[in-house]
Amino acid sequence: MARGAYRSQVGLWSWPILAVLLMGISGGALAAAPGIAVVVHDPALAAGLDRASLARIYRRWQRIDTAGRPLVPVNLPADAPLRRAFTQALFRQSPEDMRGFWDERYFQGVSPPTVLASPEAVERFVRRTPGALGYLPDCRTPPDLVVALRLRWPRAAGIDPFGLCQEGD
Amino acid sequence: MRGEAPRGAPNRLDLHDLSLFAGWDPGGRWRLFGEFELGEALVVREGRLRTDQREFDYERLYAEYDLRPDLKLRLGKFLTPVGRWNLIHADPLVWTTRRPLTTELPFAAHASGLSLLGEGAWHGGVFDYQLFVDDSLALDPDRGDRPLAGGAGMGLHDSFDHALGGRLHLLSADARDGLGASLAWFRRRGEAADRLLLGGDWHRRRGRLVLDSEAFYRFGRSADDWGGFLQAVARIHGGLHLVGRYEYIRSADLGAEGGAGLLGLTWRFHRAGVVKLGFQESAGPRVQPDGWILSYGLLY
Repeated sequence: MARGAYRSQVGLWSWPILAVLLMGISGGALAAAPGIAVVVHDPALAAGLDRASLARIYRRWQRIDTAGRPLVPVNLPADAPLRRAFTQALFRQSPEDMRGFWDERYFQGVSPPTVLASPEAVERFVRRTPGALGYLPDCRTPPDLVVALRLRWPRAAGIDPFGLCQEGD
Repeated sequence: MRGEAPRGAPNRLDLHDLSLFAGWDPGGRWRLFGEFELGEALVVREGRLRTDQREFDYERLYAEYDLRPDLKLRLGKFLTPVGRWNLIHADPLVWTTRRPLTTELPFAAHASGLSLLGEGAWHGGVFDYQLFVDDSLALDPDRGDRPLAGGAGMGLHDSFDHALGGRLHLLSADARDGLGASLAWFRRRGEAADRLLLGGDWHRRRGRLVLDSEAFYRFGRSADDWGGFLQAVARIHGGLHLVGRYEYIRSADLGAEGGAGLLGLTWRFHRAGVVKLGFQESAGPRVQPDGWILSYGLLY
């Protein structure tokens, strides 16, 4: 009986500890999951940037900031996992789904954002170009770049975000 | 490029539209845009090649200025913001070989004057609007005598004398649903009185299916016009799509009322290229004859 009572006491103690441990492990994993950092050249742009205006900028509808300075958004190639995740996070669509939209914009005389080959090229471009904005995995964002906004990694993107943090390590 | 085998008329093959888009964007608040079109440059009809039907026109020519990040001013000649079709009417962008009458009979396709365009956030989605004031009679007088496409001899002109109106468009966050409302007050060239037009448009995309609809009601001095269409597009395989459309319209201008059905196949073989084959049968107002039509379009 005494052994049984001891066992039940251990059981009562163990569940909360186990639960806390599991939460810690899963919470740690979630905390480590990278988001998408929107990086900008001008700190002033970071102050007023929200999702709606970021979407307007990347649809090339908004072309100036509130002070009237031209904005220069850049994209990664359509097949880049980060581009796919960014498009999904901001527009809830894949780059392929947005082709029709861009065909219509071409007809209206509007071209899509310039495409750069890699996150490293985005870093370089944003650093040296006034009005530039781009996106990087926040786990790989250099500390000297201004992060204007962080987007959650979209579930629908179907891409392992951890791989982007390990690339180039 | 377009080939037609209309009922009761000779077969015809033509280089229908050759359009050039030109823009200048120095990177500030101003930019310029123009669309220049060479229409019917080559026509083969009854076995004869003709080039005398060609016509050159500037479809759009405007300057745009960013007043604020979410507000633009447009000055010049632009597409009339009534309905969705008229704003994206380029052959490679639309699904069918023929344009619904709802999108071309009730109003002129272009306006010359001033327009204000705005955009904002709406319940996680986007709304945009475009208001316009037209004075084509003063600003684009040469266009006044141009007949409505395919409507030569019917006294219908594709030009306003003056107009005022706008369109509000709501788009869902994932851009799969859109809803628009248009309002325009105008006098078209050749018409004796001002008209008021109310329009609505709607589109939805779900999986393989795309649905589009537009409708209008136009108040007239003696009789009102009204009409609308519903179009469904289903992706069969790859870039191949089955297209069906039904339109019903009452036109006081043409003194006719009735429906028209169109069934076709559209093959988007490349992002920029499309081949369309369609058959139209109608029992209502006719601007163009019924029958088979094949087209090939490219957008670069």
